[in-house]
Amino acid sequence: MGYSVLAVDDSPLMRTVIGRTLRMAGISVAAFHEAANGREALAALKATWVDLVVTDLNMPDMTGVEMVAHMAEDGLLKTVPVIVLSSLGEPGTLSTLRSMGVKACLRKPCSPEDLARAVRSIMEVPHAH
Amino acid sequence: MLTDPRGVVAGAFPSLLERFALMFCEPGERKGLRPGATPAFGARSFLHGALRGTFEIALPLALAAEVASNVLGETVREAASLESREAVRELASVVSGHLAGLLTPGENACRPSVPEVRVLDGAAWSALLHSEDSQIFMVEDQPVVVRLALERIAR
Repeated sequence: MGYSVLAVDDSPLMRTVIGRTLRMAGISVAAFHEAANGREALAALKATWVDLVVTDLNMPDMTGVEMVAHMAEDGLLKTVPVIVLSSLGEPGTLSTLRSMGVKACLRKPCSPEDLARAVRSIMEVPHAH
Repeated sequence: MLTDPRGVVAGAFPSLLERFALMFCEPGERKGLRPGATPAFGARSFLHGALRGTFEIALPLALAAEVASNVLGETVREAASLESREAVRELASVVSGHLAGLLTPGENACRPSVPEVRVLDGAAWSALLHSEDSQIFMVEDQPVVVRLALERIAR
């Protein structure tokens, strides 16, 4: 049985790359959902169960930080693991995100191996052979 | 204390392009470049916070398609495709995000807006190429123009 993953990025190109990276890393993805900003992501999270969120920060309409803050205030959504994948690296912002429960913060451009490693670590997925 | 913007761009851009799109570039010169000879994508984002300014990047459509191909891991044949446009926008997002951090190290005071992409006509391409804030990089024989213009530093 595979994971249900939500990729949140205003770039459809990057959402595609995230999906391919997970599959190529041997991570079983049963359902791959996409959202272009935090608001779309929250709507998707309320409509369907998701095992993992991979999100950008700098997005129009609702940023990744705002989305994570909403998730942290929700009794159910705060249990969903979140990986941040962004070009922004402000220490204060990253510290705030971690305090709100974000499991890993990766900096774009990030190698497929780095993303796969973070997902494996958080989801406790064994390495593919 | 503001780090030299030109030095920051010169130092950071080649590495970011390599990591983002597996492409190598080196500093180039305006001399010999013919703006408008080939259509180009331009992306622009605004830096706001303690440091204000404009970040722009432009590259020929054909090179944008190569960037998209490398990011996706599959050939993007149409130079003006959505994938090419999105690749330029994401490249601008990545580079501007890193530059914002490098220009205000240790602070939490500068952030780029979400980049907007457009196709540059000859006049826009030429203006960008000849801006005193622009720097030229060459990916083989194709130019990439990076412009970082700072307006004000709040103290």
